[in-house]
Amino acid sequence: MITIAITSQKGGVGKTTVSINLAHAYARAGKRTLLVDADPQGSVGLSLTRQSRSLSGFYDAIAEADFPIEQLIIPTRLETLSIVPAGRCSDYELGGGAMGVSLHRVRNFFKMAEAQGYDVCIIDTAAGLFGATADVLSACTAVVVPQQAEPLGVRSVPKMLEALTRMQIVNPRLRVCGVLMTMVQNQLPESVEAVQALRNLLPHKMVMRNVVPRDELFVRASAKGLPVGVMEEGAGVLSIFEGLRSEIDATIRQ
Amino acid sequence: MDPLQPWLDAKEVRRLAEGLLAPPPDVEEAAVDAAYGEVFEGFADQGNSEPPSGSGKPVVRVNPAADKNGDDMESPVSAPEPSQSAQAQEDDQEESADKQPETDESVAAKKEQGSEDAEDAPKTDLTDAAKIDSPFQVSVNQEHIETDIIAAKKHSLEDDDVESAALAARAEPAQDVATEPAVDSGKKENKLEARGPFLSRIRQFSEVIRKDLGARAMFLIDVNGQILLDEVENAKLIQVARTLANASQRANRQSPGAAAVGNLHVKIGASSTLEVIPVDSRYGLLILGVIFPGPIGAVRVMQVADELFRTIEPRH
Repeated sequence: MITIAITSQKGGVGKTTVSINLAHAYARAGKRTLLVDADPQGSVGLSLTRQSRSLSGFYDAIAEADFPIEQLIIPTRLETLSIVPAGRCSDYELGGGAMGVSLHRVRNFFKMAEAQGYDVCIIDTAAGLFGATADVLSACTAVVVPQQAEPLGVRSVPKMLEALTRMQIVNPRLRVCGVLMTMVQNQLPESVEAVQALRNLLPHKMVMRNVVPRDELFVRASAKGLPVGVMEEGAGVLSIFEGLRSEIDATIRQ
Repeated sequence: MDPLQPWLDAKEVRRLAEGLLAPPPDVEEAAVDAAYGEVFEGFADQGNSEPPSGSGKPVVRVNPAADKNGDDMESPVSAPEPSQSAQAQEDDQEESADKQPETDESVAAKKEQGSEDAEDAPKTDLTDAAKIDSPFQVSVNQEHIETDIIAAKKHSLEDDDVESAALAARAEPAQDVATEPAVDSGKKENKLEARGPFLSRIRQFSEVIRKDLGARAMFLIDVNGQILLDEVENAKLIQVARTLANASQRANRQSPGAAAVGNLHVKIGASSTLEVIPVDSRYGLLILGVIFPGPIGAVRVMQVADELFRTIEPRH
């Protein structure tokens, strides 16, 4: 099983949107996919289910050793896609937790998911690289770093690279798939320039080929509690996430 | 206007990115967590929010009154939180400390054979095992045509004045590379080909061990703890390295040749190990600390030590 964390130091860059639609792309490709909400805000759950706050989830498994994972998994109408909501995580909402506290249990969680027959596990993390997010990265196969295509956002990328460098000391096998530019506005010069500047600055493999445009479809899909790809007008976005899936697979296979 | 370049150090950012894209080292899963096992619950009770690079690292307190040579240095290892993980790390470190004088016996034997001129040509002799499969197929220090800033200042420095050398290495701007070295004119040609600015050579050495051995980061300090290069930025790890190196030197004095090239390492994280490699040079004892995914073994340690020595003293 491959485990892919969707992580960024900044909030509001589109981690949850990327997680949901990437998981949908993997599931459509026939991979048994588990979308895990490791963000204490429970954004995945809020996007896709109406009762997420009352459900047990990832943080229950972290709080309690040997919590049976099958009690956490919520099936979806797409047979190959399941969800684990964030669960009850007030401790993490309050304190953020310290790195390493949950590492063993995160690893256990992944092992249990693998034992359930999942091929891919996509983890939507909270903003920042500390607490449970750091533990998730310590146990993951790969990480994707969404970054909003605007000047202030791209200036924070070096900080993210520093943090990931430290994470690779803890987890040398962590593959960095790259920075994924999100909310790209082709009609806005500053947005396009921000993407180009990052491409000029970093090695070409570090900035992912596929970009996620700003599109009202994401808002409409969110309102309906759906991945964009299942919406009638969602073919374009679907193809973007298909491309993203292929790009990630290629990086992991290297 | 470029929305990025004025706000950051482009070269440094690119270096970070390239490091992140490097293929993962070939580390077996069993080796990664060998010391932790199934009951390992992370570094829960450390009571701090240390950066990941230092997670699980031993806490070492160095006696500030220790003398400059480190002869009287005492390094009580404290484990303030008697948690399972902290205890495991402490045990790990104690085990490493217990093994400080322990070096590859064949190395010691070889060293003794060549001990007559060991002072003049330290660490240029490797065991047969060390000579094969060297990761340093391309030497880092033989292609430079720049002059040696350190050498240029040599006549104004005491040989063992490492602190000054370190400051010189740090302070020299790039444009000073044209400074004429004050070296013996008879030997000048060869030296010019073999040398580059000290810090530049050390940085290239760092790149080579990253590329060839999967090193994650390194630091180089002198015996007094002065930093010549620090990619780790963790004071505790530097203290650990200094303590181990000094203990190794002390053991070497008690039993000459026993610990010339140490095999000193401390597990500092679930899959990271600090290798401490002391190297004698004309500037005195220099201490190299390198973070690897796991211990690299005595032969590799010797190769790294030898390469560092040739990087520091390219004439050899």
